[in-house]
Amino acid sequence: MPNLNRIRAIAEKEVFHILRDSRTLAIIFIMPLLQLIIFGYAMNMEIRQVPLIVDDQALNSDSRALVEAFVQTDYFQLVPHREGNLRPEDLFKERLAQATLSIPRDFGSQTQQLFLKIDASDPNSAQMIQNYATGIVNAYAPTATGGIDLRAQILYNPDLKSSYFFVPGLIALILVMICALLTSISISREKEMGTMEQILVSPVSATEILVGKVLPYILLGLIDALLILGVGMLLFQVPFRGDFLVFLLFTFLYVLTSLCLGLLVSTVAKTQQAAMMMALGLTLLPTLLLSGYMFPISSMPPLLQKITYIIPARYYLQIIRGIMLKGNSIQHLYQAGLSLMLMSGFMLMVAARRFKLRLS
Amino acid sequence: MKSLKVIATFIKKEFRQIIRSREMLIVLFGMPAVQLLVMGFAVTNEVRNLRMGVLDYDRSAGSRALISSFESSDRFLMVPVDTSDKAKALISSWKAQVVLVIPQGWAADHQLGRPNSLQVVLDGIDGNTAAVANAYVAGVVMDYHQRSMRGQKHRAPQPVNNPPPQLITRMSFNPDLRSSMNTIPGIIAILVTVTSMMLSAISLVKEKELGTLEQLMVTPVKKYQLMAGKLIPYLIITLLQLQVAVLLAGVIFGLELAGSYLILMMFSVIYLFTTLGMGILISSRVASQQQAMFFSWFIMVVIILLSGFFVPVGNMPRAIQWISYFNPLSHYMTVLREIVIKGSGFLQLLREFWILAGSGLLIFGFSVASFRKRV
Repeated sequence: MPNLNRIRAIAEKEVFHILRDSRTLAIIFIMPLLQLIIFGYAMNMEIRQVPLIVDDQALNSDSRALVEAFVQTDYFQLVPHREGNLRPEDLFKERLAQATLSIPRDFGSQTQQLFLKIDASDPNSAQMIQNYATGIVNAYAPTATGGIDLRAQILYNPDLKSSYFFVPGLIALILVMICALLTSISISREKEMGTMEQILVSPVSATEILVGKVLPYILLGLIDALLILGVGMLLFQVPFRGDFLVFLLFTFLYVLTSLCLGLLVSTVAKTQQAAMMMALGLTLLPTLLLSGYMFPISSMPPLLQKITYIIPARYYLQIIRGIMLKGNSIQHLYQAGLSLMLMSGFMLMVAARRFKLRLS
Repeated sequence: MKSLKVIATFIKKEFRQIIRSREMLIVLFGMPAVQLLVMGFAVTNEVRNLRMGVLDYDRSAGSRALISSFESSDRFLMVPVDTSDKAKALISSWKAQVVLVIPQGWAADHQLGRPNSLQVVLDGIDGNTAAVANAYVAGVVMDYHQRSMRGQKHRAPQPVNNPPPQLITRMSFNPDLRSSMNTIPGIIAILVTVTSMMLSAISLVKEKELGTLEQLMVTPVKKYQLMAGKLIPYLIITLLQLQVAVLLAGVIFGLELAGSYLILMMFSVIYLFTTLGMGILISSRVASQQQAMFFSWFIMVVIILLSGFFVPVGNMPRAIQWISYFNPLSHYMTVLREIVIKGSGFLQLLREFWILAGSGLLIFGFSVASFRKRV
């Protein structure tokens, strides 16, 4: 039977550890704010002012009007054509331009063809540049025979603001990083310093050690989550349409899952260094890339889609986006919640078993 | 001669320490390989397999033809529904991201050229996906319209006296627009940065925390011998990791190096002076491994986000572009991408060479100079 007093003693000791290390504490709070600002202001998917080199052989009124149409938009920026006939590939290698437009000599009379070459080393940008250019050329000569009126209605985020997407995502990322990383380090530190043996020979049980160690980090993680939520709502006007209590409940569940992950890592890793590397490898990149935080899961190859089922953030993202943006209630989200519960139960079981083995 | 021997002893000791723990080997070589594989496939801005609910009030041959043209593209997976309540619930319960509503009598109106409309409802939570999905839907509908117009014989195409300009696009270096071409060199740059910085950031502080640094301090070992003995193994390990990553990129993603391997290695060695220097700087200023870890995590997240990996630096606001100019990872990533994708030569990367060499000299020099051999 776990003794509450002993748990409290261990937790208090852990709190002292956290408070004494003011630099780590500062990073834990500054980090999410800095990321919010970077994501809010720097992560802009829209490209503007693409450097374009125009090779106009025709030099007639038609070609000039077309070039003018390119320049007048905010999408393209004309780069002066240098002397000497460089091939587009060489221009791209010099990074002087991202696209070249060549207009043949008989444009407007014999031919109506224009040639656009795009540096596709960044395929996403290349696709966008192509769309812009096609749009400009089509607008220049309206061929509109569109007989079907397509009415699009965008739910939950009609202005397609990216902040609606990344503020909830950031909460998921920061929570897993703090909970998994800090717990794994705190336990492997005791092992490396040899203080774990001292605790183990005391009358404290393994469960008491684990619970006592984990409690302060749950609190720290929750404070951080609320900080991001508050600043995100203030700075970027992200709505909160659902029930706050449901949010807290599921967030607690997610924090628990992350902590179990950290515990599991710490039972495997023998040194702090290994624990940090493992925890980082298991949290940072998978949460960024495989949870649907930045890249849609449905676009991944089938095998990877299956792997995403073991990433806790995948479920939490659905939960937090659902609550904040869609106003989902428990009945929409219970499946995701159950998955989190199953995962944390499984990890806790394995961790406890490995931990006890070490004891005997 | 003797000092070289001292350094060699240190290098041997460092390597032994790393090789001794199997988990460290897995962390250093197994995990990066897995990350490369996973990320190479996951990082894509394409949108595929979107679940699309269809509410067909029309139930005519025309509406079925429209639905089947959605089905035949691999962008959409169709989810038929029969009532508007169910259609609404699809999006709120995460069962579909798009809903298409075909009103009654739509196909007949369209066939006869009367005004007609289709309704598309999109889940806007992921703004990027929603915008892309909307464009796909418009494309499929436009395509359907043109095909059905062509099919109608009695509607002869109007004589065109002035044909509109026609844009012909060619994609250089990556004609199939494969995402992996761009992301794999980026991932490799990140892996190299993370490994070298983490290893060196923890190196000194670990000895400090375990008390072995004091023992080293009282020996006659010189400062530079200590530093060289620590850093050379990390340099070698990171370069080895780079080899593994480049090899995997070639074997699994079919990404062949367009440029010179030697230039790639040269730039990597130059770049590693910056990251190892940053690690040493952190290591000599913090009190515990945990602090070292958090400081390097802090720096890495910022430099990775602003490196141009997720979003091209050119898209960022001017002020942030200016900050990115001081981000060594951003320049190293440019170098890797240029060499791997375009096969650029040294002269085309001259600017990056000066920047990386300068930052390496500055940061590494400062970190070595500021490290004091005392407790």
